[in-house]
Order: sequence, then structure tokens, then C-alpha cells
Amino acid sequence: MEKLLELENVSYSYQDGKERNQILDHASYSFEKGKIYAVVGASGSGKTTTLSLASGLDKPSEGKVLFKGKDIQEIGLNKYRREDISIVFQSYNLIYYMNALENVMSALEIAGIKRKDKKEYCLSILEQLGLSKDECKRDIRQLSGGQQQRVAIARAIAREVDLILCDEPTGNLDEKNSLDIMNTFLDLAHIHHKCVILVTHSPTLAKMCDVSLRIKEGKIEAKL
Amino acid sequence: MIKNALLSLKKNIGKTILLFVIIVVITNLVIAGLSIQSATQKSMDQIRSSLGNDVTLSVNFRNMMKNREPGEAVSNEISLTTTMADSLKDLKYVENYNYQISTSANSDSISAVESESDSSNNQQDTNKPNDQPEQESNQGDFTISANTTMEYLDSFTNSNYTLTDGRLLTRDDANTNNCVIETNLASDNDLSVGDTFTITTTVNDETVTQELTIVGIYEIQSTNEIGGAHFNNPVNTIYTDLSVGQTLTGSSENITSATYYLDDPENAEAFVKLAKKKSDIDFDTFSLDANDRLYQQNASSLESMQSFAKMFVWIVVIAGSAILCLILALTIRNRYYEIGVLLSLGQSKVKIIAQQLIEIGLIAAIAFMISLGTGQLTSHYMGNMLESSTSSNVMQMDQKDDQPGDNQNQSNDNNQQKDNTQTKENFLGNVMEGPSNQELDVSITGENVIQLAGVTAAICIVSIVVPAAYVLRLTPRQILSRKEG
Repeated sequence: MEKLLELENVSYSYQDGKERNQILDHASYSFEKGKIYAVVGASGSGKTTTLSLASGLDKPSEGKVLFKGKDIQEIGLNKYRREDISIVFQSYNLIYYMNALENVMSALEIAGIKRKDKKEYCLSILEQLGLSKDECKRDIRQLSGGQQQRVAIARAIAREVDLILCDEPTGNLDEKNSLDIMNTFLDLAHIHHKCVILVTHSPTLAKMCDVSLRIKEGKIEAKL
Repeated sequence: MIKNALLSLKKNIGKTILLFVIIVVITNLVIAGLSIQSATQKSMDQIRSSLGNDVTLSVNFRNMMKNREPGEAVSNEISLTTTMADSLKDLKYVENYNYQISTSANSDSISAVESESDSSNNQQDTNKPNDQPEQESNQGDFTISANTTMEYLDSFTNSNYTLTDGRLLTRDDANTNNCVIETNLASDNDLSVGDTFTITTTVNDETVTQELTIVGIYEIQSTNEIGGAHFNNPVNTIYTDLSVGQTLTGSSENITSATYYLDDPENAEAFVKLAKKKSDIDFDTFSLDANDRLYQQNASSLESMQSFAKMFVWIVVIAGSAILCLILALTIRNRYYEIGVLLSLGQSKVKIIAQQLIEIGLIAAIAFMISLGTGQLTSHYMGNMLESSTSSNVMQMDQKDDQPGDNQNQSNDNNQQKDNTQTKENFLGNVMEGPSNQELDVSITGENVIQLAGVTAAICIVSIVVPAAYVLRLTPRQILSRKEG
């Protein structure tokens, strides 16, 4: 399998008053296309930090994050986030003054993807994820949590990137919605050959993933 | 970006309206301040232009009186020289100049025009034009005004005196005995152009006789200028070339005054500064007067209005920017979310700020256009308010000026300068009333519009960039975690 993302001796620490908290300590791991990874661990263990470093939302204190063999800092973190990855957050992070369709379309615009059928394309993805045309044009705040998360996933899918990073994407959802969304991620990995990394607290969801990773004492350990 | 900006404005309609109202208020106040500023400047320029482009170098009798010991006589020995005057004639801004010698003379061949007020010899004539010389100590029947050229003399340029026959004296008349006399003097003595007569004066106990040839006859248009004692009656003034004055005073070097005609009245102050810098003239003893006293009298209220308007604009700009910054800083907490999302999607910081600038720019553009209409009303209201407050101050100041002590000072003033000022006041009567007593022209000019656009743009940029820079210094993760927190 092709290595898509590599964490190479990555360390991350932050100052909390007089104390220095070491979250990751020379952690290394490689992620491949076509697989779905679950990152689990206790609260404060460094799951979200790992995802933030992998998604270029933050910089490691030491070590490198390589995407397709190239340091993402060399690629440029903004460019990397814009062109190479998609992120799905627990709190959806949709732009509140846009409707569902506009949110998905604006992601394409930011990524610089030019399609003549942009509107139809985005609508089709939203519809595949179970949103009706009416819901697609409704005020985003009038959609349920599950629907908003679907919009966030649609936004991630529409960009047609190889790497999708999800930070507790089902954290605010009920079991049924969680399973629906999980199935979408599984399809993305197994059918569309994307690399999906998701941070989760749910053992059920973690078990559904190809690889389960645990952050322990600053290291990344794979639980097969 | 524009589409997103419009969506954001529409969705945050409450904030949009609040910002719009604030910007309308700011732009109205700014345009009022700017238009008052330019209106006062325009009026001050008009005053300066009305006062003419001439600057006169003469002995500073006012200063000499001030510096003398009580009871001490003012020296008559001090005199302006052509060397001093020449040191300024080639300076920047000077287009032309005229040296003048004022003296008096008697004549055996002609007689002065009599007037009823001749008995009151001590009476001050307050109606004489500025180029009408004040007679020096040995008073004869005739006032001799010896000039380098008559071309720029105020009385002739402002048509108070008009030429009825012949011509005025020019530089071509240098070292000739040509002269120009008043029509009444000519008719009383049956003189016409081409005739000659003689005048006499006493220099160092010796009688000097000078023959003069009439080349021009002028008429005084303003009847209230005619009258006074022989020597003070302008009809008895004989204009000659400077050389005649030098002969009559017995000095080839001394002159009474030198007047410099500048390229632009607005350069008067610059010329005075330059003259003080470049020449060796002692400006405690000699003064360069650009009608400053008259200018100050008429422009002081405008100056205070202008400085108020300037300060007002600055306060509005600073306070307006601060208020907008504060509002945007408070609302930017809500935008943390949006900024974090956009950054996580890879949007560049420049584009994020640009979108916010477009948003406020759209609001400001509408506010700006509305202000062009409403600003006129605000300007008029503020202009009238300022005018009424400053004119009441001016009235109070005028009352103080009218006190006897001030008259005393005036009488001590350099005669030439006093005469100059008084005549200017008469001549400029209507013009002077304009800026101080009439409604200030606070109409919005193209320059105001450009300035307002600049100020509005600056306020918008500051109010967006400052709060945005505060947020954008953080990493996307920090922004998103703050928003979540």
C-alpha cells in the first residue's frame, strides 16, 4: 500500500504556566491510502494534537509531517490544507451565514477547483449523504446535528482529496447517525481509496476501522 | 469573496445596520469638518488675495516708539536706503517693486487747491489711499510722491484714481522731471499735459528748485478722499520719478518705503520669511508688512474656526476608528469561528482580511454616498454654529479693540503703514465683510469628497486590520480551540 502521510519523530509540547506539557514525544507512524484509522486514547493523551499536526493546523516542536514524502511545511501549511486534505470537526465548523450547498461550494472555491457543474456536483454529494434539495438550501442552523455533520462530510468529499482527517466526527450524534456516518467513511476508504484518520472515543467505531492507534506517553501505538 | 461578503452582511443584518449607522455618523462629521476647513481656508485665501500681493518695507516706527525711553524723541536719522531695498528686489516671489520717497514742496509757479478744512491743519486724514504718502516734517503746500513706477500704485490699480489725460510714470521715466498731477490742481492752475512748472523745497538751509513737466493728469473718483489741509489733500499730490524725490530730499540713498509686488498673494508670508533669512536688514528697526495686521483682524476668527475644524476631524477620525475597532473587536469573537473554519479549509489570511474589508467597504460605500447628501446639511449646521460662536467672540474682541488705549497705539504707528491699513480697510470694506459676517461657504468640494473617501477607507482599514491581526497571529488550531472553548 502507498504511504500517504508519515509522522516522523514528531514531538509536541506546550507551556502551561510554569509547567511544560509534553504531548507527543518523538512519535512516528505512517498512514496508507485505502485504509481507515482510528486514533483512540484517554482525554488529554494527544489525539487531537496528533490530528492537528497531521492536518497542518499546528506545527510540531520537533520532527516532520510528510505528505506523499514531502514535509508539509515545505508544501506550505495553507496550501496543504487547501489542496491536499479535508478536515471534519466534531462541531462541524460550517460557515453559519451560508446554507448547506453554499458551504460545500465555498470549499471548492477556496480549493481553487473549477467545475462547470459545481452546483449540481455539490448537490449530488449532499443528496448522496441523505440531504434533500430543500435541506441543502435551508439556513445551516436549522439543520439537525446529524445533517450538519453530513454537510461537513460532503464538504470534505467534494474536494476530492486523498486524506480525510476527522476529529470526533460522531461526538455530537446519536448512535444511528454515528453508524451512518461511519459507513460513509468506510466507503471513502475502501471504495474510493481515501486515507481516513478519525479521532474517536467510541470503542465501537474504533473496532470498525482497519487500524486502531493509541496515543500513550507521547508515542503512537498500533492496536491491531 | 464578494459573494461571501454579501452573504455575511445579509446574515448579520443587525451588525451591518449598527456599523452602517456609525459610519454614516462618522462620515457626516468628517465631511462637515473637512468642508468647514476648506471653506475657512478659501475665505482666508480670499482675504489674503483681497489684501493684495504687495509687501512694504519701511521704518518700523511702532517698534521704535515701543523701545524708546519715556519722553525720548524718536530718531529721524534712521532711514530706509535703496541698498536695503535692493537686497530684496531679486528674491523669489518678487515680480515687481516700487521705491517711494514722500516729501512736500512749495511752488511759486502754481498754487495748491484750497479746501474748507485747510484751517484745521492738525486734522488727521483717514481717507487717503495707501500709496498717498504721508508728508514728512517740513510741510509744504504739495505732497510729492516720488516713485520708481506708478504702474502698481493701489489708487490707480483699484480705479480710485483714473487717468484722464496723458500717461502714468513708468520705469522709462527714470531720471526725468516728468510728473502726473490731479485734474483739479491742473484746472485751477490752467495746466495741461506738456506744461511745466517749478516746485521748491529747502534742504540743509538751501533752497532746491525742480522743474517738472506734466505727462499725465488723473482724477480722484472717491469724493470722500478729497479734502483736508493743502499737504494732506490728495488733489495736491504730485507724482514724480524717484530721482525727483532724491533731489528734493537731498539724498540719493534714502527712501521712504519699498513695495514689492509678489507673484501670488499667498506667498506673502513665505516672502517675509525668506527676506528675513536672506537679508542683513535689521527687522527691529525696519518692518516688512504684508498687511498682516489687517489680515489677522479679519482672518483670526477663521483661523480659530479652521483649527477647530482640523482638531474636530482628527478627533472624529480617531474616535470613529476606535469605536469601529471596538465594535469589530467585540464582534470578531463571533468571527473566530468563521476565521478558524476558513483557515482550516486553507483560505489565506490575506483573503480572510480582504473579505472583511469588502464587507465594511460595502457598508462604508453606501454610508459615503449618503454622507455626500446629508454631509452638506451637517456642514451648514456646524458652519453656522461655529460662525455664530466665533462672530460673538470677534464682536467682543472688536469692543476691546475700540478702547482708547488702542487708538493711542495706532496713532503711534508708522504713518505710512497706518495710512496703508486705513485705506485698505476702506477699499476692502465689502470684501472684508464677506468672510467674517456672511455665511461661510461650506459646500462640499471635489477635494472634500476625495479626502472623505481617503479618511473613510483609512478608518475601515484600521478597524478591520487591527482586530483581524489580533486573531490571525494565532494558529488555526488555537483559533478553533478558542472558539470551541
